[in-house]
Parts: sequence; C-alpha cells; structure tokens
Amino acid sequence: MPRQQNADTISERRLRPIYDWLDNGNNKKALQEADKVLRKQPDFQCCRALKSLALMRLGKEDEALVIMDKILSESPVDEGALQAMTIGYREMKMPEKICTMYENATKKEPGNEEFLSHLFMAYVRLGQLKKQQATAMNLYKAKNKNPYYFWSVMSLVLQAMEGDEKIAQTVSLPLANKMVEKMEKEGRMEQEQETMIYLMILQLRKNWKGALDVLNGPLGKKLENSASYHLHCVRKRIELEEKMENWPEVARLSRNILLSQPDSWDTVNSYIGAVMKIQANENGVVHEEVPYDLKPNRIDRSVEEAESLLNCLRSSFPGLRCPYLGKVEICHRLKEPDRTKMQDLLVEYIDRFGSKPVCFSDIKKYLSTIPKEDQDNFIIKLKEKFPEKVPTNLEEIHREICLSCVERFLGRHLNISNDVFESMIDGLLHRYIATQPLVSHLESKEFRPSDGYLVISSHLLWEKWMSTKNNRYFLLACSLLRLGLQYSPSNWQLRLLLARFCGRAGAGGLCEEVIEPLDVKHLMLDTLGWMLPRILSSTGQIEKLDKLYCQMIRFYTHSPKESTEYIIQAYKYGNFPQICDIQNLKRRISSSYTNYLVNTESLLLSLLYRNNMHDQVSKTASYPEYTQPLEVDWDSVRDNRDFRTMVCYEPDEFSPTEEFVNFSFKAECQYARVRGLILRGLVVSLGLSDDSRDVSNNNNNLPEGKGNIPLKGLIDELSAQLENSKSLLSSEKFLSTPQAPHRCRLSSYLPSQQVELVLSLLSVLQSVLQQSQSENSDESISSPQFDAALQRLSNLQNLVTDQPATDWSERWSEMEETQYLIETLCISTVLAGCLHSLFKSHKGGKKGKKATVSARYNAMLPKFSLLLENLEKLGAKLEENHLNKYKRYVSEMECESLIEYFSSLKVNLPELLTQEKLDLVNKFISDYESQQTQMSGILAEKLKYLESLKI
Amino acid sequence: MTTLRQFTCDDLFKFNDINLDPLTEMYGLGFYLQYMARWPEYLMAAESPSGDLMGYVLGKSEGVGENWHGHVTAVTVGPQHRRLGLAKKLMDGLEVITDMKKCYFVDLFVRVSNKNALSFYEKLGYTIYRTVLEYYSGETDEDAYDMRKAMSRDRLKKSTVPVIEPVRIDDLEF
Repeated sequence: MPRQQNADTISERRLRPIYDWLDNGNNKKALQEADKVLRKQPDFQCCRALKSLALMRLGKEDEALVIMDKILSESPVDEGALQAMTIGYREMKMPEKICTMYENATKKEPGNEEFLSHLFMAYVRLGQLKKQQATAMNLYKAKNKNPYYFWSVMSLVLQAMEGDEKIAQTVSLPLANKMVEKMEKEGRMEQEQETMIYLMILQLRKNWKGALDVLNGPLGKKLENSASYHLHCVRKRIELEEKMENWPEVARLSRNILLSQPDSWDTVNSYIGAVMKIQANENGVVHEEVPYDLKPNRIDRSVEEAESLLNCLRSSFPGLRCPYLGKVEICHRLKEPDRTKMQDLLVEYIDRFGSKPVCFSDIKKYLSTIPKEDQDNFIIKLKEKFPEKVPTNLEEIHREICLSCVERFLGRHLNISNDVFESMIDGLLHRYIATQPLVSHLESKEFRPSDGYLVISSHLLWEKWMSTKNNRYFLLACSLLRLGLQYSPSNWQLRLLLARFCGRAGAGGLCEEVIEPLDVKHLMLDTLGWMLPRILSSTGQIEKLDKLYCQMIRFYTHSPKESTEYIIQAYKYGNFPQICDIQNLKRRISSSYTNYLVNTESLLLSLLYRNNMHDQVSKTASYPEYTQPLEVDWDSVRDNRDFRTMVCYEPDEFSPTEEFVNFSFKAECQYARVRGLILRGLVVSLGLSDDSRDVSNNNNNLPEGKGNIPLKGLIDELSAQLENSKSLLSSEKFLSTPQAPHRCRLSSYLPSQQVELVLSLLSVLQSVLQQSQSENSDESISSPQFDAALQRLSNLQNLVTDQPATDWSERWSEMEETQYLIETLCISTVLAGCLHSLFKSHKGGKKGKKATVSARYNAMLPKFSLLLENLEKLGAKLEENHLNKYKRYVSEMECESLIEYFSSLKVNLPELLTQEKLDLVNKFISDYESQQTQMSGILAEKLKYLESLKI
Repeated sequence: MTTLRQFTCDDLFKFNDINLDPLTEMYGLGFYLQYMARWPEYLMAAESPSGDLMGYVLGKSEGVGENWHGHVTAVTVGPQHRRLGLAKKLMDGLEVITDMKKCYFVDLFVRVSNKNALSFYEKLGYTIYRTVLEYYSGETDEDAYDMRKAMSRDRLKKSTVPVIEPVRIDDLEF
C-alpha cells in the first residue's frame, strides 16, 4: 500500500501544474505540460482527460473527443479522470456520454456511493426517470440512507406526472405509495420532506382521506411543528377537507384560523363556501338560537352566523379588509343577491378602503355584477357620499382615482359628447396639477399617487383617438405622458402607455427608447416579450430587433439547462415539491410560444436581411440552427404573455379577457407555424440547389416528401396551414385597447399574400427538380408553375399602391403590411437564387462541364428571365412606394407640429405640453428616417442581387 | 388579505408589476431557483383577492454557531398593494421561521440612501450593525448598512452590538 500511495502522490504532483494552467485559462501551457507527463506515463487516464480538456478549449474539439472516447472505452474509475471528462462532455453537449461513463464505473465498483450518485445526477440531467429510479435504489441498497430511497420514490412520482395518467394511477403511484407506506410502518420516516412526498403521492392518487390521516397523524404533527412547513399544513388541511366535501369541518377549521388571522382571504372564502354548503344541505333545519360568540371550534351553519362572525371581526379589527370584503362576497354568492345591500356594502367598502390604491381591484369583480339599470343609481350614491373636491392628502387622491376607475369600469366614459369628454380631461388634468404639492416630497423612484389622473386621461384619450382618428388626442396623450415621466421616471404605467402610443403610430425606435429604462430582462423577456419585438418588426427596425432577438434566444436556450441544475440541487436538499415545480417551470419556458416564434423570426431575419448573395445565404442556411429546427409539440405550447401588468379599468367587454387572449394566442401560434414552414421551405430549397450538400439527411424535421423531392410534402403542409390560418382569421376577435394583445400578425400577414407567392415559387422549384430528373429534356414541364408564379407576382405588384393615407392610429399596421411585402421580395430573391443555382449546377448536366446552364433547362430560361424582370419591377415599385410613404409620414408630422393644439385646455399647461409635443415630433421624424433608411438599403441590395442573377 | 403562502415558480410569471420597480432587483432565473431549491420555506408570497401577486420575501438561513442566522435577500410590495402593512407581514413571516429554526438573528443589507427602507426596518426593530463599503455596484457605487435584529435565542442581543469600523464586501462571511 505505501508504494501505491507514493505513486498516487507523485501522479498528483505531476498533475497540479496542468490543473493550474487550466484554471488560469492558459490552455496551451496546460497542453504542453500534459504532453510532458504523458511521455513518462502514456496511459495516465486523468492526464489524458486533462489534455483533452485543454485541446477542447483550444478549439480542437475533434482531437479532444477522440481522446475522451478512448478513455471512455477503458471504463475509467479514476476520480480525476471522471471529473475532467464530465466537464469535457458537458461542455461539448454530450451528456449521454457522462451516463455511459458512470454506468461503466458503477459496473466495476457497484457499491461506490459517489459514482452512483454522479450517475443519478447524470440521468436527472437527461430526464431519464426510470434509470434515475433504479440508480437511486442501488444507492439506497449500497448505503441504506433514507434520502436515496426517496430519490427513487420521487423519480417514480415524476414518471407518474409526466407519463400516461392511467399508468400513473394504476402502476407508478400505487407503487410509490407502497414504498413510502413501508417506511412509515417500519417507523423509518426521518425528515419532514419525506412526509411531504407522502402527501404529494396521496393527493396525486386523489386519496384525500389518506392525505388527511397522514396530516392529522404523528407525521403531520411533526410537519406542523417544523419551521419550514407549518404554513403549508394549515392551508392544506382545509384544502383536503374541501376535497372531501366535509363542510362542517371546513367551516370549523377556517373559522378557527380567522379568529387569529382575520385578514386571510383564502380562509374567508373557504369559510363562506362551507357555511353556505351546510345551509343548503340542511335546507331549513332550525337550530336552537344561541348568542353568537367567538369561541373556537364552533361550526357556523347559516349565512346569518357567517355575517355575525364577520361583523365581530370587523369591530375587533377595523383596519382589515377581509371581514368587509367577506360580507360583499356573501352577498355576491347568494342565489338572489340583495341589490341594494350589495351597493351599500360597496359604498361602505370604498368609504373605508378607497384611500388604499388596492381598493378598485378588490371590488372590480363585484362591480361588474351591478345590473345596468342600477348603475346610475350607484354612481349617484357614490357622488353623494363623496362630493367632488380637490384632495388635500394622498389618501383623498387615491379615493378620487378609485372613484374615477369605478365610473370608467361602469361604462360612464363611453358614448359621451365631445364637451363632456373635454371637461373630463380638463378635470383630470386640473387635479393632476392641483395635487402636485401633495406629492412633491416623494422621491423620484416612488410611485406618485397623482399619476393616476394621467393614466385615466391617457385611457380616455386613447379611446378618443381610436374612435375619431383625430391626432390631437394622440399628441396630447403622448405629451402628457412625457411630462408625467419627467417627474415620475419610474412609473411603468406611464411608460408602457407611452410605448403603446408610439408603437401604434409606427415609431419602433422610439417605442424601444421609452421602454428601455424598465430594463426588461431575464424572465420578463418571456412575459413582456410580446410588446416590443412586434413593434420593431412591423416598423422595420431590423438592427434593434436583431439585438433583442439575440437576448431572448440566449434566455430561452440557457434557462432550461440552468433549471436542471437546480432540480439537482433540490434533490440534494430533499425539497421534493420544488423538483416538480422547477420541472414545470423548465417546461413552461421551453414550450413558450414566444420561444418558437422568436427563434423562427430571428432565423428568417438573418437569412433574409443579413445576406444577399446565394452562396452566403446558402451557407447560413446550412448552420445547425437552420437544419435542426426546434421540435415543437403545438398541442402543448404555452402562453406566458403577461397582460395584467398594465392597469385596466375598462368595462368587461373592453378588457383583455381570457377569450381575447386565447384567440390572440391561437392566432399567433398559427402564424408561428406558417412562418416555421416558410423558413423550412427556404432551407430545403437552398439545400436542394446546393451541390455540396445532401439535404435528405439534414432536414429531419421535414414532412415526408414524395420520392426524393422533399418539397412536395412541405408544399402540401404549407397550403394546409395557410387554409387553417385563413379560417382562423375569419373569426378574429380583437381589442384595440392599450392593455390588450396586439392585433394578431395574421391580420396583416395574410393580406400580403406572401404565403401564396412562396407556395408558387416552391412549386416552380419542385418542377425544375423534377425536370432535372426527367428523360425528356426539351419540353418544359415547369411552364404552368412558372406562369402561376408570374401571376402571383403580378397580384402582389397590385398590392403596392399609394393607398390613401391611413390615420396615425393604424400606421403600424400599414407599415407591417409594407414590411411583409419587402420580406416577400427578399424571400423571392432567395428562391430565384436557388433556381439560378440549379440551372447553373452540374446536377443533371454532363460531368466535367463548367458551370454553365445545362441544355435541359434552356426551355425554362425565358420564363425565368420574366420572373426576374417582374421581381425587379416589384422591387423598384416597393422602393419608390416606401420612400413616398415615409416622405408623407414625415411631412404629416411636420404639419401637425405646427398646429396649436393645446391652447383650448383650461389648465395651465399648454406651454410645457407644446414643448413636449415638439420634442416628440422631432423624435418621430428621426425614427421614421432611420426606419426608411434601413429598408431602402435592403431593397437596393436585393435589386443589385437580382441584376446579378440574369442569365 | 395577507395570507402568506410559499412562493412558486408560477409566481415568477406574475411578478412584473412588482419587479419593474427600480428599487426591486430583477434577478436572473437561477437566483430565484437557487433559493427555491434550497430554502423554499424562506420564499413567501402574498396574493390578492383578485389573484394578483401583491408582494414577496426572499430569504435564507445560514452560518454556524452564534452566526446561525436568517437573512432577508429581498422584500418587496407592488405599488398597488402598498400602504397595507404588507411588507411588515412578510418580514414577520420570515422572522417566525427564523425563530423556529433557532437562529440568533436576522440580517439584511440596505442602501444608505434608501431612507424609506431604512426607517421601515428601524420600525421593525432592526438596528444598524455596521456599514459595508461599496456593497452596491452601479454607475456610482454605494455603501450598504448591514442591519440586524436579534431573535429570541439571542437573549442578550449580543449579535446586534454595532461594529463601528466599516467593512469591505470581501470581509463579509456570507
């Protein structure tokens, strides 16, 4: 043994410098050092592994891989070698080899705890649940430690959650249940986490009674007394009793909690629900009258008793909202609610809590139940109770804003005359100015309550702008918001509103500038990522868009991997519920529709706008991100967009309800599908027209093609998706409020006829390919396809007209349509490039011949020339039209800037506002100019390229 | 309206109205997950009757011997839900857990310029333990106060006896 130890120490000493060089990032030195050691000990596994790390980091990945795979085949058990190879395989994104490596190691040393636990984690990274389960069991058998046993149980639970529900209920969950039960019976449950997993299994099996028994038994007691889970237990018990429909127990438990935590809304809800169920079940049973008291464990059986409890709580805790809102909730839940009582309760609620900014959102749900015919009366009640006066403190500001919100929500801002509208705006602005002294002491990063007046004014102005198309409202709103942001730069409500105004009027760059201080990053890129990219793409802000896409894609690629590491952490700490939670998060992010859309759009952007010549485009399209597209299961795509951050006081019919959001989501998914196919069409066409590439292997995600022409299947699928899109669009539902999702992309995409043209060009390409394989070389079988494409192209040219000017509120959508036309031209040039390349390629031609046009294509050339000619025409027309449009946009802006719009305001702001307006107009103009330059540049490049394609 | 419950991953999709606040740090995903994987009990959220997230607290417990303590990493409430005493409830919740875990104290860092937060913590019984130089990096670096509050285990409140000499960020143990 001493000799062995000695050898180990020597080896260790020799490796030290290599580790040091690697740590310092000096890979060259590390490599030299490793080679030196290997000259003496050529079989030294750890040293070879370190050498491969150095090679890999020097960019010689192939060499590194050869060494690593060789070591792998030797089934190493040396810790250093295993560690280095784990790093190597991970960095080379070959996690499955880490598994093989540890599988081999555990075969050699079956009881080695470290190897087994590495193997377990390696399976976790790959999501191989069954292997995880078995490995954890081996670990348990080897070391007899509880956590390993429960790792195995957890792996089984995850199988149940991810797999087929029936198998879960009949196989995996009963087995998991049995495994835990065994431990329980043998009294070997040690940690609270083990009880948590037990509860989780029982609930997944819908065994509420079993879960309750555990919770009420000794294990549950221990859980309840622990620091980490006491919160969990209280709520869980009620939840389980609710599932069992044991209403008296729910009533008793929740009442007990309310006595000490009267402000717990969940509990109030459970309590009210239970009491009402009991009352309904007993249906008229008369109980002996007993004076109401607050002793615990009483079971309340009637609405009257529930009200008594809430009344008692109200008088004991007058500052808490729950007991008050609880009474409103009771009134709301009654089959025949007392309408007057409901109104009185709401007035009372506003009276007590209107001074809190949360008041409106608390009562919103109940306000919408006030019948139309009662609404006037309700407003009168409010006006009587809270007569108008200039607020003298922050509380009064909140209350007045709350009242305005209520009026707006009840539709009092709809269908009003111009005079009433103007006086409303004047009134709100007057208040904004008058309350400034009350908020001037607040720091700039704090929310100023008076900003609420600006928010409501902007909502009003938005609506008026949409309905009248009068730009005065737009300019006034933007100027007000800009003014407000000077004092409250951190108020994101003002900022998001301003961004939506600017976006709507087609200023993408400005929209970005407004949002920028919010520093939208990390997960917000997913939740708020619906807002900005759309505006940037519709206004042709390619540079900014590209940057944003990169940021988003980094997030989407990185997050799932990162999440896995925390799943491993959660195993280590035995936090089982968090394993499921993080697993769900991982799935939610990677299946976010924004992920798929941004991925496709960004690939299209680089392909179409970053490259011109065929070779460049073709090379780009051969990169793995193009040839190996993300796999999408469209049935499980998630909508993570957040539409709740912008406050909304609109009546229900104008607020982004689930119905609107769902439609928008469906339509956006449909769009993303079509776009994905367009991208595939381009990638396949580029592959087919490139001699050097064998596309049949590359495009594994393609719908099966007929014979060796993979385009056929793609064309069919794209046509089908086009039809789906059209039928979906025909049932479009959308809102034009600032809080609502943008109108779906299909609404401007489908009219651009891009898909139809692409379909016809792909058919041309397909027929040319067929021709290349056909015996008959004289007769052109592509002629009808060419003609169809030419027809499509001429249709498209008709779309490029100097349409009558749209108003500013629709400018972004006008721009988006133009943008799609420009993109269509870019796509067509790529496909024309493919045709050109096919004609000139050796394929089908005689061997050894130079790259000239093969005779078999001669018959097609006139049509091809015609196609190029028409594309050129389209390009030139687009270029001119684009320039003219922007000239018009700029001159309109300049004209508007001269009009004295704000002098009629009755508040003392016109000068300040006029200054804001002038700044805004200048920003708009420079933004328009930058947009115009970017697209004109692209068009000019494409025209130049088309010229080069002429044969 | 302030039942505290455990913060879950789904809350990350709902917290924009809180995290857009310039005084609330929007961390990378891993940061939240690290807490979730290790100290899930220390992540608490409060939800409003309308289902919105009102605020949350992010904390942990660590240290050995008399340094075994709870730490408040972030406590924050959205603007719509301020003036309801919610931040105090969240802090109370964290302190209850810390006390049950038999920690000696709770500590937290606060920008020296953040007067509102400073006075809020003082009201809750936190005192300035020491100053950490240039704890916050940014356009201009800023010092932090390391504030502490003794838990019931530290009967003599030894953990909160102030240290006059400021420390640098590298000197911090955690």
